[in-house]
Amino acid sequence: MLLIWLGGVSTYAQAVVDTSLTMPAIEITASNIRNESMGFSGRSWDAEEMLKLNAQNVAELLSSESGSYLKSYGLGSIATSSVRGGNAGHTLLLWNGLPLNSPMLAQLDLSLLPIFAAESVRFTPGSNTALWGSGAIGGIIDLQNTADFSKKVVVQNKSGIGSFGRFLQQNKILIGNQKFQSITRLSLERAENDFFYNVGRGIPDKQQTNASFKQHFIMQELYWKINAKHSFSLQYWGQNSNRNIPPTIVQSKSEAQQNDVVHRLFFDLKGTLKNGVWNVKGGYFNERLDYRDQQILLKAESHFSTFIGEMSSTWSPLKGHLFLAGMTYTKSMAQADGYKNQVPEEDRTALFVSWKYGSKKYNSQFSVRQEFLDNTILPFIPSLTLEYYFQPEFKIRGKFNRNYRLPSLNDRFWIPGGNPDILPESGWSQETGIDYTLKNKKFVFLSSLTAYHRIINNWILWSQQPGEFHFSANNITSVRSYGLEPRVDLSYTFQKSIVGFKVGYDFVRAINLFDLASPYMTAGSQLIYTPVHQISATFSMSFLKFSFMYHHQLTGKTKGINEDVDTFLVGNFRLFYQIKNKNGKAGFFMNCNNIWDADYVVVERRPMPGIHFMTGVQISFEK
Amino acid sequence: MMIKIVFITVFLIQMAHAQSVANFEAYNLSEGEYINGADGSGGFRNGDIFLPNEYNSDFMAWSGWAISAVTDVTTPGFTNQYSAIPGGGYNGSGHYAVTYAFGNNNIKLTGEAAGKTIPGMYVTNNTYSYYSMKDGDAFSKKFGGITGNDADYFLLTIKAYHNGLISNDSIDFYLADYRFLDNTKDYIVDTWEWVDISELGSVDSLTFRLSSSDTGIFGMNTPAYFCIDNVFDSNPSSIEENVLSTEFVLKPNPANEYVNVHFNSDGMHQLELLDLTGNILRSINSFAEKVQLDLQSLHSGMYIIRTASKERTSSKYLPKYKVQITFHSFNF
Repeated sequence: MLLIWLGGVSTYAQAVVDTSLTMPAIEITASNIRNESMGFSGRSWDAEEMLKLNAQNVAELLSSESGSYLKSYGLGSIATSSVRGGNAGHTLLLWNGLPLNSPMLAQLDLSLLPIFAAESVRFTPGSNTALWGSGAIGGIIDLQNTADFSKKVVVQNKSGIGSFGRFLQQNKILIGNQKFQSITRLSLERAENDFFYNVGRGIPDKQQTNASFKQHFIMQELYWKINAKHSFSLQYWGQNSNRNIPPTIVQSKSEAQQNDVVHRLFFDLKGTLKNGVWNVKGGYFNERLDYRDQQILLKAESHFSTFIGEMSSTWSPLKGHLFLAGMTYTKSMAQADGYKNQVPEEDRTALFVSWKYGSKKYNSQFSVRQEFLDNTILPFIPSLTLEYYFQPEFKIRGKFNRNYRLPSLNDRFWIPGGNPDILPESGWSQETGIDYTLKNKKFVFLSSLTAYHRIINNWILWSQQPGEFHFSANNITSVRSYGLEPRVDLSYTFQKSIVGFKVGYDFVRAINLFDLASPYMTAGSQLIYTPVHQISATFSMSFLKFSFMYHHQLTGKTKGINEDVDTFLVGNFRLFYQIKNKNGKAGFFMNCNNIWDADYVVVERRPMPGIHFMTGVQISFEK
Repeated sequence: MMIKIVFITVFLIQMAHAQSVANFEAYNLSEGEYINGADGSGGFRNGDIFLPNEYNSDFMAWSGWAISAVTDVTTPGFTNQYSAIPGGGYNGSGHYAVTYAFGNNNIKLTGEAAGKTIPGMYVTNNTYSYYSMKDGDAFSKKFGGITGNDADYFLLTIKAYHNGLISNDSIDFYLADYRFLDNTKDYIVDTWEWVDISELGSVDSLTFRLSSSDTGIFGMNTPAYFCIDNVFDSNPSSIEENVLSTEFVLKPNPANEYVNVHFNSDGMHQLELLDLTGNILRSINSFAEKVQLDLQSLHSGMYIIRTASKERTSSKYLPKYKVQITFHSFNF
């Protein structure tokens, strides 16, 4: 293990720890120069924290967090994110550092990502394509799995039942020693989602139909510490999700169904050098989506495979200097009725280099990336980040970088409408922020203010253009995004209690820069499904064996495709009781969502449930 | 030397009755079949009209017009996009035309029909559009909305081009109308309905545009389809009266300088000569069995003879032609 003195880190979780001017030593792995890139304010959750949260998947996890807008089509339905005015394809999903976004759509349904699959989840708003590649424009969500070689046996179970026929069963079994670790995760989740929703004054509530889902998940992780310098891991992620697609509130019925089958295989080989580490990892992701609608006699299957291989090395030749160099190769291929008889493929090769320098007062990071798509040279992507500590508690940070997002395979090859000549989205972004931290034995105060600005040119949209009789993908406009993100996080410890309060506000302007006929958008107008204002506040308290959390979220009015989506306020509550002994823990939880029974929609014509509950137990045994 | 030779040419101005009805039956499709231009023909010629079609063989997608004999009226969705909701063509016929008209869509008059007046055509909803409006789908709303009170509509607007100019007038036909305060009057057209477009006058081509109350930033959500049949047919009320009525007979028909109206019943008859805009040009009350109308002062074109007796009112089209003498000069 290499310990190296490094510059400050900026995530909240780390900021709690790293408040001294003499920065602590941290463990360097081959990838953490990317994970802990400077200039960002982000958030991470470990498995222990996630067990206590009122969330089962990444969509639910992010919905309670500032900095992202979750576009949810309803309970158990599709959910995508908009971070800092970006679209769903501008949030990069990673699993152990490898991109999970579908090459067909350049995005991923966040409701299909169970947080139970990961040992930790990191959400980092902000542009970082220089280090992570295409799509990391609005932010990054990284699901990480790691081994703890100190553990021998861990058995965990979480079982719950809830409103609308929700049932949850999660099991995790760890067996290992100091050389070898095996972790098996199994889960089953299902729900009928037959909730009632309000359709208007004087009209009987309507019951949601065709909204049930069932999801099976299995993950097997194998970790092998080969020797003191080398380690290897192999992980498999299998998932089968069946869900019905409910009707809109202005649709009599729906018989649509969607089946998503996922097979993901990942390996990771790490070794240490004299002054650094090296890492070779790869993945094979195979996903099939089967959409059927018996009512309209529609059957649409699609399938993609992605091979990813990555080599990288991180080393520190001089005190305070850290270098990263790596190469990623990605090959994707897809099959779908929409490609007719084609099997589109794409080969992507990316080279990236990063130099990080830290001193007592200031840190810097300069990164570059050059990617090649098939035989095309993509834009050169530089990134520069600076941090300066006025005081140990007070830091200013800034970042300047270029961004890009490659068109998806559908954008290029779908028939009709795919555009082989479509250009990647690209542009520049700037970000600055200040962080102020105050901490003593009882009191922790974290605050930050981030301002950002970004322009993305060649914005890709599907629309029906004049003279066309079908939708097509085009580089249709440019979008300027800018915003402010003030955050405050307080916690106070007294006797056996901890009281916490966290509040965040997001001001997001995402402005279309050209007059468009289709979609009809005037220059200067805010993008649809991008609320200008969001406020998120969380109050938490723990006392002895009890913990309590209340989260309140205000999402401002936003435009939809057909009509405006009104401002809505939603409150969620969670009560948790846990007893521990030397070898285990047992807990009881009760979640109450939408506690004020608000009538609201996130996506127009797609109703959300009123007040609903979930309760259950969590048991873990450890040896 | 210049020799002037005089040729006398007689032009019969052909009227609507001389134009052939486009009923698409000549395509000889079996039930359930359709043709959507995949052969690259660029359109369909039937009777005196041409229905343009654009087919993209790369995308295997079509727009414009298709000819259909599809009878499935139960399957909603775009997989049933070639179907007319009555389950066949007008009056039980097998064939009809269906159009996907996201923007404007056209019919061109060809041959001798070009520049003439079209009495009308039969129009109905496409099955995909019908169920989309009736029940909603993933992209479109159920007309009336949640409460049934939304003032929704699906409107077909027809305009005419003549000599390169588009008509100011237009014919509006509501394929669905939920704007009534009394919701029981709300309707979605599910039968073949006669649309009289004679008011548009002389026509080289017709242009069709659909609009809907269910419209978002990507345009109209209601599927942009409708179906037509029996283009150039006569007004159904006229047909009925022509067939069933024994009120009167026009001789000659078409006419030139005069027309005789022979009544088949006794009593007083009120006789009116109208132009296609409804202006009454002559009005005669007569107890005679035959009345002769002088047409010499009238321009050539389509007129209407309307009679009223105690029992009923009847009307018939009367095309007037003229003899035209043309002098052609040739230099030798």
